[in-house]
Amino acid sequence: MTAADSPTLSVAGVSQRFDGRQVLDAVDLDVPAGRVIGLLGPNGAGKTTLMRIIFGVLEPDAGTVRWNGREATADDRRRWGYMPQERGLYREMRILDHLVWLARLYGVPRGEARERATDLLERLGLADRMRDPIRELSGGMAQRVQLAAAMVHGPELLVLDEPFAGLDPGAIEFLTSVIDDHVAAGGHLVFSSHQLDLVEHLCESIVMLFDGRVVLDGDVRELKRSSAQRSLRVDVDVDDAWLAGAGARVSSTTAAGSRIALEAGVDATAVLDRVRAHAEVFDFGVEAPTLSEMFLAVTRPPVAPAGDGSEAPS
Amino acid sequence: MSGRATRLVIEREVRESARRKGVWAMVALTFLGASALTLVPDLLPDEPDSHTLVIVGDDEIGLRSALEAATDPEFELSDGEDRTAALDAVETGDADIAVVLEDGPTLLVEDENSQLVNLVAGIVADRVATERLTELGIDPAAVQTAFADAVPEIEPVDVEREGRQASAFGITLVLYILTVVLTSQVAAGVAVEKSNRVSEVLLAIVPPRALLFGKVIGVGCVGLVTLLAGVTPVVIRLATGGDLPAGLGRTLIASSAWFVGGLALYLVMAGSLGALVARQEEAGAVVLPLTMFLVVGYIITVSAADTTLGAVLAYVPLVSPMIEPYRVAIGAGSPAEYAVSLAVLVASVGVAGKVGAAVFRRAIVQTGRRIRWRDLRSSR
Repeated sequence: MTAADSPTLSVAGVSQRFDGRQVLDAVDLDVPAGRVIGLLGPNGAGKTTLMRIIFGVLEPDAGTVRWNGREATADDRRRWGYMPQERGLYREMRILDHLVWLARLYGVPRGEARERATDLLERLGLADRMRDPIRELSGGMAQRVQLAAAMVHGPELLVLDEPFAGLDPGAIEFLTSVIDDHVAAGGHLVFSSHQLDLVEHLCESIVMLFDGRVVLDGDVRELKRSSAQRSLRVDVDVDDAWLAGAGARVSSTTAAGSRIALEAGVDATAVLDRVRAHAEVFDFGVEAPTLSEMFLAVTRPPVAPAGDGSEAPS
Repeated sequence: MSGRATRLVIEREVRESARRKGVWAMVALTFLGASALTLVPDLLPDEPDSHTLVIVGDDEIGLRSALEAATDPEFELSDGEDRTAALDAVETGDADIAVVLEDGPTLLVEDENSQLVNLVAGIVADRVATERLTELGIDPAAVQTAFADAVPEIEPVDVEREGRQASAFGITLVLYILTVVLTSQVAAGVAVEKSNRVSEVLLAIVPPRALLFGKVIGVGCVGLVTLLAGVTPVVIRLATGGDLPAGLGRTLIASSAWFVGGLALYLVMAGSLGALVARQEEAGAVVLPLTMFLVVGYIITVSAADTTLGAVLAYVPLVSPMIEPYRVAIGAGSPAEYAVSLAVLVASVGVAGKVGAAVFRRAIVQTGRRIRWRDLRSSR
């Protein structure tokens, strides 16, 4: 099946209230085949609730979850794989037994389930641990088993809730490669994360949630390209006072240097000259906004311009 | 799919339980306890058919011939040299009793309250009395006849009642302990699955009803295996032709019907209550009302099963699984009562299954805090 004729997951107008609080408000989400979709937003934005609704664990107050143009059924959902934010595994069960059992629940015959689970564990580097109980695994290994649990039945759609939380760089790289492979094979994939900058390079499209509403969505490149936000990156620590009246402000400073947010229409070279007047710059660049910067731009209230033309940090 | 999913959930519960040492320990303890009740009496040495008696002194009262005539038990008699030698024989175990016939009969014994001592003392007293009566010119046979005629006839009304009560007590205790343990196990299991989000993964695949009933049946199966371990020694004893305590068979059959119904009722309720909590530690607290019912039911069962209160509670589903087997054992109820009680229990299991599944379905997805009943009414 090619990406073009593959079904699409389509969430439309989903709303949910808990205890009088609007957790999701008319949220739309499309997950076509062959693209990595990031469901992003801070903690409490409603990402996990949306994923539970997609899987039918929760019934929404309003809205629909459609697969291939029609309302998703329990049979459809058995062809999807879900990895929850917290480790949804029986800690006492042996790894192989657990995966085989889950695959059988998904409808895979026992023998085939064992073959798939064994193969998957070999691919995930856990072949020598398959008879160990899950409680004996490290956090990263348990995460791999959880991923295997979501994939053991060969799902068309993978839904991963905060898959990168708590992982070391090696585990993140590994998980990224698994996601890429799934999508490259024409699979559907959506994952959630509150670590916007960590997953920025992985997302092709995003839906950004804030307080249960979609505040930003679309192709990441297009979003960046169409944004009026630009930043100047320099390898020195910049003082905001150096930029007074230049239409720019320091948005962040790290060990690598400062990142300066430029107002629309401001000439980046003029700001660079201001910085060079105070410190020697070896490395610099004009960059599109990060996902964090775009998120802050759409969620922070507008800041009144200061008298000297610069913006005070909110 | 629901039936298949339920079967798989049951299979996992049973298989994982079989891996737990605690489960096997419970099964082994039940088996050993039941074996102790039914088999150990056979293994203990029987009372000897004959006893050794030493007689010291001149037998002028005809004690020797009286003892030789006894058949149940029989006595092996020997003559002792003197009191010291007889005392030594009793102390070393060479003789069970020594009768010294000097200056009035004296019995040298180790346990003055034993049946054997009473028996021998009776024979000695009979011989002494016969001799005295003869000396007084009274016919001992006539006296014996007079005494025999004066003894009232005793008609036992229910010779097996005590045995049946003991059987009922033992079985009720086992069922009570088993139900308490399994109820806690189901509630804790559901709470663990909810807190570590296993249920979240499973609910994406299987219906909540399959998840709840699968766990209840799976844990219930473990309970039945334990019960089987308790029944096995009884069956072995029956098969080998041994005697059983009175009423044990009838009580067991009645118990199994109420046990299965009661266990289903309690476990379904425990499963749905376990879904209300946010953490495993809270599971014990949330099933406390159920445990209280069990405790109160058990106390009433062993203290007042044959009273009016017991007769009324026989129709209360949360109590009848304990009280009714007891009433069956001691014959306190009628067949109509048993039938109605069982029907009410079965109907209650059906209602609990429906309500429990609804509670479970709504509560299992509400994580992060303990769920109140109000929350369930407001959620869909």
